Amino acid sequence: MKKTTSEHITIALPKGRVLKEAISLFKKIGIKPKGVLTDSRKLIFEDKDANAQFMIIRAQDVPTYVEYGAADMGIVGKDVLLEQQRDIYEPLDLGIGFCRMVVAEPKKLRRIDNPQHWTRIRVATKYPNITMKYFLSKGIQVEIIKLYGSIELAPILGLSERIVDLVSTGETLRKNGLVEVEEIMKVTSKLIVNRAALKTKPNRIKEIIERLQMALTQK
Amino acid sequence: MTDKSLNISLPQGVRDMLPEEAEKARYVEETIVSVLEKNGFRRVITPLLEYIDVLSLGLGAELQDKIFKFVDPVSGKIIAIRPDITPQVARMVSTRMRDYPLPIKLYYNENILRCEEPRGGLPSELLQIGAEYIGEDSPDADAEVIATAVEAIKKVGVRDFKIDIGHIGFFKGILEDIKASKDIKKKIKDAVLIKDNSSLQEVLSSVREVRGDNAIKILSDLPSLFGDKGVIDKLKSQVKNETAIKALDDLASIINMLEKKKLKNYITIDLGEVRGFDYYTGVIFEGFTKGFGRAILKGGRYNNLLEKYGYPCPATGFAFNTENVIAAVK
Repeated sequence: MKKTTSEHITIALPKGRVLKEAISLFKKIGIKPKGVLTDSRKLIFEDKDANAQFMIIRAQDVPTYVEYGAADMGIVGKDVLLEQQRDIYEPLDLGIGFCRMVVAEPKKLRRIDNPQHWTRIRVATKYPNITMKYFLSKGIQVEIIKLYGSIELAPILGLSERIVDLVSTGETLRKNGLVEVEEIMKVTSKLIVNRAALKTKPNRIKEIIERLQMALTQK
Repeated sequence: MTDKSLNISLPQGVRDMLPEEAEKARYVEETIVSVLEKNGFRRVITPLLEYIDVLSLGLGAELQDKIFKFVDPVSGKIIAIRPDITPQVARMVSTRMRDYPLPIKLYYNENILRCEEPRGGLPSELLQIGAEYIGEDSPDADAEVIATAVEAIKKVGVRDFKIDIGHIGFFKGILEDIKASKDIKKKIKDAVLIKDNSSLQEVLSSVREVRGDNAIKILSDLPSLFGDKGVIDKLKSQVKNETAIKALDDLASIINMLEKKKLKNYITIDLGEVRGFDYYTGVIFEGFTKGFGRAILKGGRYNNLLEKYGYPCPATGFAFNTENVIAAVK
């Protein structure tokens, strides 16, 4: 690999299901730090040849690191972006990590329930802001139970009748006796960029965006 | 020692500055102010409170819902704590300074209060030092204001910074050349605002041009039209819209003047910057420094503002976020 003189770049990637796809995307454009998928305790991985480093952090933290400039760019799902509303650029929909955000309720309830009659409901979710906006825009009062995981448990234990959560295959819903009522949005992951990084390292950032875009069309 | 039995707290969004930090703030303020005064700007002091209907005349849409307001118990009128100083300066000049010869060059060093969404709508206090250049509509005036900003940043001791320059007239002009509803145009603007290529291409796929003159191609390129002045040169032959051509010409002459002042290395261009779409009328710019994620200054041309207070008069200016400058100086 030839020596590069381009400016150093820090990229924040989310732990979890999107990480593998994100890494293979960057690999296609020549940024490939060693050990990202094998060393689970390290948080920072350097690729000296490409003059870039990966930071592996929780998805919810990616927009924060990017907005404050601790990372120049990052990859994160639209669910997190919409929930947090940060002041950042969002140049590319990478099409990876596809899933859907839905409203779900127990199968038994669904048989007798008519969502058009909802006026006031209680919903458990990891996404209080999106949930609040979604139901308020339909004129439905919503009481939100904010949970950090295992949302499907809430209806089983009577914490709430309904949930708002991400589904990909629908298997988790099914196993917990829940069915989808309506879809709030489709979710994929986006490339996000810090504003100051784009202004102070325009050529480097532009090059990465363009090459990622090319890698996406070749897919 | 803090008395644990007392609950001595502050509302969110405001804070004290201890001597060490206050000294640093004083250094930054004095340095910037000295540069502004050297360049002929004179200080004005505006009041903390305004009637909301008076203040709202001159506020951009982005600030309208960030105003901290309360009802005056005596008159029953709604009073606002200023979220921006520029409308106050516009009001002052329009109502009290019409006999001053133009151009009028003013500066201020004040605190403002904004209710920011990330804090759940709670107000936060910000310090601003700003300069306004009133009464001249020319690239010369814009270049002079930008050069003054650069001089101040250098003098304060911030290294490795860029002034990113755009022109709201470019986007407005190109937008004239497509057939689309208000709603679609807003979607286009929102996508351009965050350089969202993917959403932008999707919206544009349903849009047609007025005259078949490249408008859609240029709009779809907007998120990547940033970098050095090569961006402008590359576009010149493609653009047919008059407003957009005028914007490119203005930008080219501003850059030309800044290059003559040996400021070339501090300048970047971004034609896809559309912040303050309804407020600014011409050149817009922001100052960024490496390793500090947020802007340290913002500014631009606002030719319609003074007219809202009854005095049709062009103007341009900028404001430093003083605390961001202090943080960037280290």
